[in-house]
Amino acid sequence: MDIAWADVLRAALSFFLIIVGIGIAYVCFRLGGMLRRMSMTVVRVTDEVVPILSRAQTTVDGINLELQRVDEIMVSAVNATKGAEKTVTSLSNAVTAPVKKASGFAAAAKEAMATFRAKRAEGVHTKPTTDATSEAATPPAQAAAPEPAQPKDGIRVQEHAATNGSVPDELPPELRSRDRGPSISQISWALPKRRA
Amino acid sequence: MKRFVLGVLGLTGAWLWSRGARDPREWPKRLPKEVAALWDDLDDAFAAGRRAAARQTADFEDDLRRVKPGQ
Repeated sequence: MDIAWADVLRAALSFFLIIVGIGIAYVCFRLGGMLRRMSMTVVRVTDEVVPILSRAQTTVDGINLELQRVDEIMVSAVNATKGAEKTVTSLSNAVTAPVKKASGFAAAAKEAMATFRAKRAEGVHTKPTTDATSEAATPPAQAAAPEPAQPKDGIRVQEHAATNGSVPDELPPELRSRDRGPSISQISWALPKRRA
Repeated sequence: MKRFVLGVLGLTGAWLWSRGARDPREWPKRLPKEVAALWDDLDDAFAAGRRAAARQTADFEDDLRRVKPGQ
């Protein structure tokens, strides 16, 4: 039997080509299915994403609008704060002056009252009383020198009070009260005050 | 009017009585002295009040300056 190797070679090549063609056809068939599914997937994703994107755009627009409102609110708040600060400053300046005057007037009234009371309490026991009592109780010849009689009367009252424990009753009341002097509260009231 | 005059006279007498003039006969002599002494005391009191007001105002302004240093 005579074998023609050339025919065998052709037959083998033909078989190989047939196999390759079948393989390529199979791959193309699978690739076509995959492309079809991919295109469907892309269409589906596109259909789902576009509304989401439009809603996101709407949301972002709303957020921008709210941010603009917040910005306006902040500007209004800053302006209100500035206005309030100006108002408080004006009010403080308007209130400070009367309060300062009232404070000064109160301090003046207090100090004047304390000084007046201290002076009055001091004046009860000094000159007019002794003048009157010396003029009323002594003849005119002795009434010319009333000043030296003050310390003697005071010393006499003090000595009598120290020995007997009380002021003598026979003395006139203005002479007895002269020895007393201002009280501690009157002195402390008349002294200059120290601020804390 | 009569009541007013009597009231003023009564208050003046009571004031002089409280100041030690127990004999009404010495009231005409005592009244000018007491009034002069009262005016002197009032002058001293007003002077002390003015000094206290100036001191208090200065302290107030110092306090304000301490609270608000910018002013």
